[in-house]
This record gives sequence, structure tokens and C-alpha cells, in this order.
Amino acid sequence: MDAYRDYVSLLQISAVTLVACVFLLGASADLFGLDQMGVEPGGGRPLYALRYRGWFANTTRHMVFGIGLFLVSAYSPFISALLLNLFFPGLFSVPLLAGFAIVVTSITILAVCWVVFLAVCLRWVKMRQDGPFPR
Amino acid sequence: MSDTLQLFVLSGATALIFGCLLLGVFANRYRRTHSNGSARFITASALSNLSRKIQHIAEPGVEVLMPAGAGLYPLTLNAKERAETEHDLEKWVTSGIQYTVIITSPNDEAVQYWQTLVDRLPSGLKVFLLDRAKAFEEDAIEIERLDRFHPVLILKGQKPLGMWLEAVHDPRSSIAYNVEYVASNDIVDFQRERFFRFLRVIRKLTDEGRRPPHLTRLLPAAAAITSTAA
Repeated sequence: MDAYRDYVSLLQISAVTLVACVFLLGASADLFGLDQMGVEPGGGRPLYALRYRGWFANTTRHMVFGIGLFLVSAYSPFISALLLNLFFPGLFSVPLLAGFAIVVTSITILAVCWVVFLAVCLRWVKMRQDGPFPR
Repeated sequence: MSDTLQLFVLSGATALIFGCLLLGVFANRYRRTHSNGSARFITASALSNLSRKIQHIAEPGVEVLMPAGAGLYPLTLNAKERAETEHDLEKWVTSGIQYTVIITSPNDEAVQYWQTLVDRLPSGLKVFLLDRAKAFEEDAIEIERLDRFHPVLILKGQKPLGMWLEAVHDPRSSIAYNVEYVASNDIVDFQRERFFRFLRVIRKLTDEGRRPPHLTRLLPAAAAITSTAA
């Protein structure tokens, strides 16, 4: 079992990303949320549109998408490399995998922190604009 | 494997997956923008998206009805983009397309801009101003609904050719949100009822024969002088 201890700690580091993903999902549920904007002309069905609009909101949404892309593209080879190492010991060295995990996890955490902060800013600004009387 | 090779494999695989996914996203956007089929966009602009859809069905006898809110869209573009938009408009109007712009929140800036186009382009370009302050109550409600929701209808005679729906387009923004383009072959059932409902509303609001109090049409400067003199 001792041989796998290093890999387990690498997996634990990567698991931090799962927490980041929860934050990211929470923020994106709000960022991609729709609000009712009235009804269609001619008395049709209700109209829905994105809650947050403008370049700032668009940038934040693109960041969420970018982080999603990065998570998939960075963790797929990394976790695959860990698995491969179980069947072909020594294929990838543990220090190199650890270094890769630190870089990938750090970038993810940094990016998620920024997205959460920007999402909070957007919510703050909207709350201030709408006041207690939503339009 | 050497450390360098291991690093190369890991980072190369990351870059490759990232690149492929990104390419897929762009290919999908390109297909939705450039094809003549139905498509949905979270954000879209009339210049880069609607124009391409119209180009597929542009032919003499086609009519485009475009509610434009405050009518400031061209003024949110840079000089090059605006020239491109005007060029497209000129090309369509000259080729026999009837292009009607409906401004539901008239303002001096927009009126001045559209007047220059009406003066310069053939009579295929019609610009209507709808003043809700002078409108009957029922019409005023519809004018207000068209302020930020822009259903652009494309038809020939009574045949629907396409419908471009912008759920929200803020007055001073070049971007519309939650946009849906419904192509001709998808305008059936619910979408057909929707198309003709919008058409009824727009026709009623811009019916020159009925002479509703809220309606003003921008005429070419020369024609306006003649009509005043008469």
C-alpha cells in the first residue's frame, strides 16, 4: 500500500478542485440565470432574458466557461497519468505529477476565486440598482 | 520516459484537449451564424449575425420589418462597422428589398441619423417613428413592449421567410441577449402563430392608411419639402 501513498496525496490535492467546482456551479447558476422581462407583443407568452447583462457580465460568463474548459483539459491527462502509473509503475515520476498538480490546482483555485468575486460584484451592483422595488 | 518527455506529454495533452474543445465551440458558433438554419444565441449583434441570415434569403420582393427600439444600434458601432451595416442596407434596398425600420423610442440622435439614410437610399427603406405619448392606450402598450424586445420579421407576400427575435436589446448596446432565429422551414405550429401575431402588431402600429396619431414616417428631405409646399 505504501507505494500508492504518494498517489493518494496527489488525488487529495486534486479533490480540492471539487470544492472549487461547487463554488463555480453556484456562481454560474446565478450568472446564467434568467429573469422575466415582460410579455411578448400581442399578449404572447412571458419573455425571459439573462439576469446580468453588459460587458462585465459577459466577461465573467466567458471566464466560467474558460475555467470549465481548463478543468476538463488539465485534469483528464493528469488523472489518466495517475491511473496509468498504477498499471505501469514509473511511467510518470511522482515529483513531476506533484508539480503538475500544484500548477493546475493553483490556476483553478485562483480563477474560481476571481469568478466568485466578480459574481458577487455583479449581484451587489444589481441589488443596488433594483433596490427594494425590483423592476 | 525522461522528465522532459513526461512534462511534454502532460502539458501537450492538456493543450490538445483544450484546443479541440475550443475549436468545437467556435465551429458550432460559426455553423449557427453562417448557416441558413434556425439558431439560438446567448448574445448576438445585428451586424454580424442578423445580416448573414438575411443574406441567405435576400431577393427582390422580400420585406424586412425591423423594430429597432431607440434606433441607436448603428451609432453604437465603430465607423468601419457602421459603414458595413449601411453598405448591406444599401445593397438590399437597391436590389428591391423593402426594409422597414420601426423606432419605438424616438430621439433626436436616432432621427438625425436615420434621416440621412432615408435621404441617401432608395425608397425601399422606410423609417417609422412611434410616439407612445400620442398613441391609443392599447397601441401604447404594444409600442412599449417593442422597446427592448425586437422581433425582426422577414417575409415575401404573406410567406414567412425568417424571424429574428431579440429578447432584450438595450438602447445603447450593440449586443442583443437571448436571441433566436427561426428559419422558414421551422416557422410552423407555435412559431407560425407567433410570427403572424408579431406581424399583426407591427402592421397595426405602422398602418399609414389608418393614420394613427402616434405614427410618423421619415420622408426624404426633398419629398418633405414638396409635400409641405403642396
